Amino acid sequence: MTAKTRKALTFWLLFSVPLAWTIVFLILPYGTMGMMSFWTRKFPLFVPDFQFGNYVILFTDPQYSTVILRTLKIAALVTAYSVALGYPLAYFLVFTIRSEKLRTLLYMCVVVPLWVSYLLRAYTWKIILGTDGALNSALLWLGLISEPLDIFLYNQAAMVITLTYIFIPFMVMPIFTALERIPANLIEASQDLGAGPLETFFRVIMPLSTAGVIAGATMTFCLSFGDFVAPVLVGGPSGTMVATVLQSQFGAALNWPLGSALAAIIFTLVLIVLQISSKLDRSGRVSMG
Amino acid sequence: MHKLVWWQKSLVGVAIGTLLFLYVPVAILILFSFNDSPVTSFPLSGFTLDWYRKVFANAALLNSLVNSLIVAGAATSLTVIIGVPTALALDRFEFIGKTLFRNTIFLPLSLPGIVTGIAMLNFYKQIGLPQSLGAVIIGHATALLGIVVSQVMSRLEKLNKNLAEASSDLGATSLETFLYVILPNIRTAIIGSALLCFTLSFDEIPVTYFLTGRDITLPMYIYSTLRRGITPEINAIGALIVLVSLALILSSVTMLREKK
Amino acid sequence: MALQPIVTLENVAKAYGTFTALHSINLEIGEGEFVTLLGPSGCGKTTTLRLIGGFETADSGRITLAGADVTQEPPYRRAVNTVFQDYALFPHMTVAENVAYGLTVRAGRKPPAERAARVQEALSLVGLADKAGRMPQQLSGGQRQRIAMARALARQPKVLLLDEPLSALDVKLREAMQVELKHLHQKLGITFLMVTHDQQEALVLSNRIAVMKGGHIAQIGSPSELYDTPATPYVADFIGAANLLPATYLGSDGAFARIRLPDGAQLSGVAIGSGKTLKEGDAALIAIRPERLSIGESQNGAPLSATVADQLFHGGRFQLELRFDNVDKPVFIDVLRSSVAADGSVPQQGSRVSLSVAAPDVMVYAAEAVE
Repeated sequence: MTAKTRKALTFWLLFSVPLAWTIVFLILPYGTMGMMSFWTRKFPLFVPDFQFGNYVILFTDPQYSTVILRTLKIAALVTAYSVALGYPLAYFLVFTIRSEKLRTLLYMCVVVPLWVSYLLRAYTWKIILGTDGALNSALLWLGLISEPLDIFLYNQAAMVITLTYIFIPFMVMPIFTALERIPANLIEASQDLGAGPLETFFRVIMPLSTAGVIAGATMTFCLSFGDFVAPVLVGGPSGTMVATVLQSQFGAALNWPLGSALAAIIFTLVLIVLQISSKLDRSGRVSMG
Repeated sequence: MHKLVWWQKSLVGVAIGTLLFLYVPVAILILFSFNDSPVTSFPLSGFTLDWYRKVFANAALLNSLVNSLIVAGAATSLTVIIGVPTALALDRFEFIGKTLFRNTIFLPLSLPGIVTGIAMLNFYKQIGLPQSLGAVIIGHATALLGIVVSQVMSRLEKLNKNLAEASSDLGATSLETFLYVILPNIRTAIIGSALLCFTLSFDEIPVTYFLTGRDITLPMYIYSTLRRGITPEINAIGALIVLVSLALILSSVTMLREKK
Repeated sequence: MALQPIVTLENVAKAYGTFTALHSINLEIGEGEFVTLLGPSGCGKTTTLRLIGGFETADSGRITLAGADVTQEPPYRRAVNTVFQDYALFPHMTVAENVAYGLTVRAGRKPPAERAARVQEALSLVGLADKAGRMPQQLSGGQRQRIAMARALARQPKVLLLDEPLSALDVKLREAMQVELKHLHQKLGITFLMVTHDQQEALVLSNRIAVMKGGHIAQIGSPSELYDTPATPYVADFIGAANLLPATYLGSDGAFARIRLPDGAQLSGVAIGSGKTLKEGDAALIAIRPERLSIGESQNGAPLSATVADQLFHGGRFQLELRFDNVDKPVFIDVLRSSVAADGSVPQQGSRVSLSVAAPDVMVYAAEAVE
């Protein structure tokens, strides 16, 4: 056996099963979904076809375009709030906490919620924001309000709060990593050259942590855009998101081709966001060598 | 260091506020799981363990818990069995379409779960695979494959390439090199990513929602209960899940620390 | 000191937890001097530099810069600039932006025309005016080093602090950069304060060297003072090479001290520092530079003789490893090839050789001084 055939043999020994698995259980499903998005519904059947009717409906029927735009808006707000809260937290952990042990402990505290059921984390906001929930009852009890307010739950603000709460760890982690990688002597060099702490922050620390912010923002945006649970639990009618519509196409509305088209749009949108972020990341990332 | 100026002080304030924001809801959940009232409102009415008793007496719930454990266990095993060879192949060989392949297996991690779930549902319907726990296991294993691959690959990248060469120089076959040199070095990455896969699979809803049949998993059970209304029983389950998660994290952290 | 002091440290101390990095240091640096802090790692030299730069704050004592007390001032309010050990160039800025950084900060903002001129000037000074548009990652180690210098010098600091500036460079480049650094100092006329663990670098570059050890300044003086009359065996060993041998003090002989080696040979030397307190019969430690020991009969006193243990070829010279009877430590001497060419051969392994040394070249210390 020559070295070349031995190498090829090792390669296929390792790679044949993963390749086959990925094609069958990942690539073909996405492909099927794309294909079905061009099919026609002839109730109660879905007929193979090649027509753009489903996409036309999604882009022209205000019912769908409103939901898509609303979802974009909510995902953007969640991303913005996550950066606004996550960045200071990461900065605090890296630059303000002096003790290595305390920093690791607090960082763990940020990451731990990711391991605690996602569903439960969404659910806690339902029990907090509900009409007879913890917040209302606490306000009543303290005498700040005289009767329960229904402004907390089942609106977009509740969605934004819940999703921000869920996704903050995804934001803190990459920013923390980026900040931790900034060599201490760059910050000292900046101060040595006459820049005070605030100036050093804007001119050295912030540009060097952009890659982390982009990574966190991409993750947060993509995941909150397609979130499935929060709209149902805390969103209410005005908080309907793309995922809710999608779910109904495969449930009560029973229009798989239309649902597939909507899923294909989300798929494309996420790919675009990932592409933009990797472009930004590449131009923003600088080697620390 | 020098004294903190105003913006650093407000930054510390925001950071502490954010930490509180992360933990107060969990604390409220646990608090109400011991509250002697069917509604989650203040003031607390009294201490009870009833909700926990109800949890342990709920056959449907326990059944869904068993299902969840089966799904998470099987899916995790599959991700490791498929993911480790994938990582080794990606690390050691150059081939056409490598980047595309890698991006494809990472795709389900960035893509909303509901899209992956729908795609799988479409395909399974076409090939006649029935909605079942088996379908869920395959779905989870596929969607979470990227976690094992990325973790093991980044460990392999850090591993000194000379180690494998030294091993074969000393007469070890490829398999021996893998077992005695590579595997011990990537073991913690495998364990860590497997734990993460297990947790994520145990907690997964969107893919499960579309692929499962009559058997449901614990998150599905909770999800359907929640749509009907709030019961403090869910708080008790929540508190238990928090407890188990913490125990798992602490044990994995200490285990990894002892290895060092 | 005749020069106007630009930097002074008065009883400056610094501890990190239980580790005392500096025990009450006093140091005065004159305007225009090139002073080097020399010592092994952990001796406190870097801490001293960082205290002057403002990156650490002294636990006690006082630091002044051009007459003003800066002990509590942050780095960005001090008229000193630092060349960092691994250069600390901002990776997200071009070379020109790096150099201009200190001229664009709020505290030191210059109008664009002046800024451009100063950047140009600083880059020309280090010979890299053509690299202004590059990113730091695209430059070689030596070029990055020069950009780091240009960036610090663009601020026209009163004192330039250099933290092991050449340690990351390879030998050849380091020697070339030493020459450049020296010329730069002469040209600019500002004060340079450098930290290094490389005694050769310190000897070549400095007006004065402060040898540090365990948070103290062991000795401060000109390179030739340190080399010729090291205050302690430690300094003798650290600056240049020294053969340290145990001996017994026999008494004073006018200007010289008489001592006896373990093999019975007697010779004269100069008592320095702790050596001046020696009494008859005390244990002493002598230090002799390798180049001061030569092969041949001694002019005064009993002849020294030793056995050749090994012969090391160094190209232009041989190094002989010798052993005195009853002494564990080897003694090294240098034999130039040009000098052996005349009489043919170098003493071979195992042969006995006679040695001579002049009394002023034998430095005598008390034995307790060894650590």
